[in-house]
Amino acid sequence: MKKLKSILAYLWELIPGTKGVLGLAIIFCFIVIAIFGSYIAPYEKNYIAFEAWLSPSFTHWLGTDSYGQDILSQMIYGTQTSLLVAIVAGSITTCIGVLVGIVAGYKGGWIGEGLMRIVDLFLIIPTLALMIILASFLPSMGVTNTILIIGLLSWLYMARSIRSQTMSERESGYVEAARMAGMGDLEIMFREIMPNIIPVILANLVLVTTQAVLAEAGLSFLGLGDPSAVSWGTILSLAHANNAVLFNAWWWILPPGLAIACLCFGFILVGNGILDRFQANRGNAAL
Amino acid sequence: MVNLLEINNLCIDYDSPRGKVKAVHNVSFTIKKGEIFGLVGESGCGKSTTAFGISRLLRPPAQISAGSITLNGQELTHLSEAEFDKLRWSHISIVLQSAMNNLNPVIKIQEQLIDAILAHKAMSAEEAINHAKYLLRLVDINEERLANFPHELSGGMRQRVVIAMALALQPDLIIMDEPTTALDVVVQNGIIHKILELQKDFGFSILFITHDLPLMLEICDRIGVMYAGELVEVTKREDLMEQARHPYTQGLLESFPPLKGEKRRLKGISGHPPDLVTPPDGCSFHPRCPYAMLQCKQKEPEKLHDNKGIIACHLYQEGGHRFEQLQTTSEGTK
Amino acid sequence: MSNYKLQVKELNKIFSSGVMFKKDQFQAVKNISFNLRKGEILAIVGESGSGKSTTARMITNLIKPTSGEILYDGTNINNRKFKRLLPEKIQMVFQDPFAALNPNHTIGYAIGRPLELKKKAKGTVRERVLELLTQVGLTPAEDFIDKYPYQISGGQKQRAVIARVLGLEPEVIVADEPTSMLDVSIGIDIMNLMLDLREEKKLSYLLITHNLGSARYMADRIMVVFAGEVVEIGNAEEVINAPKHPYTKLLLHSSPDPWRTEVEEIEIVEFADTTLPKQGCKFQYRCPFVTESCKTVSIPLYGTSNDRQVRCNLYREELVHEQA
Repeated sequence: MKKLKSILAYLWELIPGTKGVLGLAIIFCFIVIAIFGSYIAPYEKNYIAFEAWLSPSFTHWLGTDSYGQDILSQMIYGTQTSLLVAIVAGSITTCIGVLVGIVAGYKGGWIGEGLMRIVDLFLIIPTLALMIILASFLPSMGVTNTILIIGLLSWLYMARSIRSQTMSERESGYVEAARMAGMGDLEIMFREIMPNIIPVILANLVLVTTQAVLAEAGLSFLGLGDPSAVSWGTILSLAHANNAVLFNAWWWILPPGLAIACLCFGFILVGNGILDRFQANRGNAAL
Repeated sequence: MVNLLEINNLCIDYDSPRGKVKAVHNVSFTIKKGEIFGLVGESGCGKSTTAFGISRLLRPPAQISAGSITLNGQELTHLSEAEFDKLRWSHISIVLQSAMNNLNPVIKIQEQLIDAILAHKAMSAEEAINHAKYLLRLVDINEERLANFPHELSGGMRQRVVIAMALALQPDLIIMDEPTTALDVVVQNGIIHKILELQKDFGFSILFITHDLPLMLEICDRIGVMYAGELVEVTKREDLMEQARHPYTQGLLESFPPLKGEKRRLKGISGHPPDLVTPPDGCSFHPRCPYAMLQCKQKEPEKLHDNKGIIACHLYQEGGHRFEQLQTTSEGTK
Repeated sequence: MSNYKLQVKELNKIFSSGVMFKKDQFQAVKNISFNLRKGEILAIVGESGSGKSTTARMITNLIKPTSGEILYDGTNINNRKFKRLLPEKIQMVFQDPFAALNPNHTIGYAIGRPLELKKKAKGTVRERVLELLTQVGLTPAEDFIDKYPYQISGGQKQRAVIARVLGLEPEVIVADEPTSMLDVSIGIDIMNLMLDLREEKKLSYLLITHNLGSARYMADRIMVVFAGEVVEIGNAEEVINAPKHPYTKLLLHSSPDPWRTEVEEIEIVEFADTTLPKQGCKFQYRCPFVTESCKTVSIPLYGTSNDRQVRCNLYREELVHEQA
């Protein structure tokens, strides 16, 4: 219990300043909406019996779409999918990125070089294009597939940044001291080095999570997402497919766009906050 | 000799999250024309902060909170930035430990030297180049080196270039803050001898700052010892070599293993320097002092001016009656 | 069984840099050989870039030598079996105590973890850590064991590093400039602690330093290195009081010593040129006594390996005769 408390205190330490707190607040709001979605939403999911193309009113705060669905309700249900994809895909990306980055950075030599050449190879291929191709070839596109595609293809930049950070940590005295103490490579990589680059990992985590939100929206917008699941991307995609712009149905386009922007903004604020603190800590350590 | 620089009760503070830090506290000393004055002490004792205070290099939140600094009778603390800039280089210049790494790596030595000269003195480009060549010759660097980039020069040569720049406008006072600390002893020795030679030729004064007491004893005329932001002793070199008076100075001398004499165990100084936010009551050295008495814990010692200089220690307060005793206990410290 | 704890034979290290085809090679250490006796302190003295730290890193197996042998009690340290034992035989005290402790672990963990790994604690690990902390003067130990490195001073960190090293009960400690990052008054405390521990535990030290004063204070023998080569080795007092190699003389002459009485005027050769000669004596560009033969033929170490050895032609007659 005490340990948990100290970990929480440590995490709190990492997220400083107004920027970070504001970012956390935004993300927290979305999480609450996602968890309690079915209670908050005024109408049922995918209920299509309303009149189409209604502009915002007291009964339909964000109006209805061409199918007669309440957009506010759809938005609230969509939060679940978008957040789920963001968090799970972000975590997968982070795990792979950290693993590859630390191993490549610490081991160096052939292993490090080899891993980095693989990364370079993948970096040459435009990731979104690859995702689109994969998504269109896979038979049925469930949320799981979306998550896997995004998660498995976004770790490249992260691995590079973690690698360079690890390489500079590897030169530190404490790593040599750990080797002299007879610690194994695994222990040095994950128990000695990793805690020191946690801020960088967290900042990267924020970044890839943001990218996952955008990638999910992008895939859904192109009609490659899960057709049965609602997400902000599918709402946008439907609006596009039904010429919402022509009908001046701004209430159909703006909310999902703003929600995506808002969530990403929240993640970016948290990331910036963490980086600020990390730099400040390093600066003070040099004194 | 005339006093060139007079510092009276200089205090430099800065606010830290834990409270006010008295980095420099009531420091007073003078530097005569043509004198080499040394400030020695361990890290955090305020010696560099003093130098930065004199040369206006303090960065906020650090600021001079009290005291006066006069150069040639002119009060410096009241000057505006623009007025001070006129004195910089022509009256005061500074050589920092890191200066050799602060030369711009993508600009040739020649341009950096000429820029520095032209920024403070009006002369034609040709004159400036000739002056730059002359300056390099002064520090024994081949004038062909003007065409080099800083990275093509060794650390010692870069530091010589920096010294040449400091000399460019023949200032009255050069402040040198650990100018050779990052260098190997052989290179250091060459540079120190060059500095002494130039000082003899041009007659400028030097405020030399280092933690290396033996080096200081080799070159300085008078030495001020700082501890925890205060100047605890000022003495002539000869007097200090004969007998250090302040227990801290004695301890500092005991911390440098000598190259001569019988091999014996050195005591050093036990404990560690105080926290400047909450310095100890009384004399700030008393927790580490082997001679600490009751009054050391209660009362801050006054700065006693006598024929040998300044001493701030209770052992010497009442006519120095404990001095004899001290001398016998510390026999053989040299 | 010889009474040498450590024998270093013809050690070489060549660093290569640059891209695939255009490789720059730099020989950091050239044919360094020496012995470290049981309970002895040997100081390796040299300027930055002289190869002294590289030698230390090879002996602690942090880097691999290009060629040469390092024997611990007669066993090659690169021997597969020995490698796992190395931490319990040879340990290292690093120059920078601020970097040598992981900022994320407590002092107790930093000292205790190696004990766990090597099963060195007889009672509980915590008890042993407290014992070690007391041994290096971090008392009361209870106050220090749960602290993080940023909560203690530089001198205390170096003591903690020494405690960690002691926990593994090595017989040889390589100390790479252990006091150069510390304030002088703190540094002398650390040196005294190391001297006391040597007496108590019969340790052998290899002390890497650039400071002749500390070398004399700590060491029984001094080895002076220049440009990767040993130029002089001998009893500490003899080397300091009567240096033979011109480079040793230059080093001594350059070290600040306000109490210097006799001014031995050795001509200081300014070295605008930092390149090293391709052949002959490495010190020839700066040597006031240089002769034609110094410029062409490389010079061996003259003298017997147990006494004084000097790599200088000036002493050929004198030392070769002694040898015979």
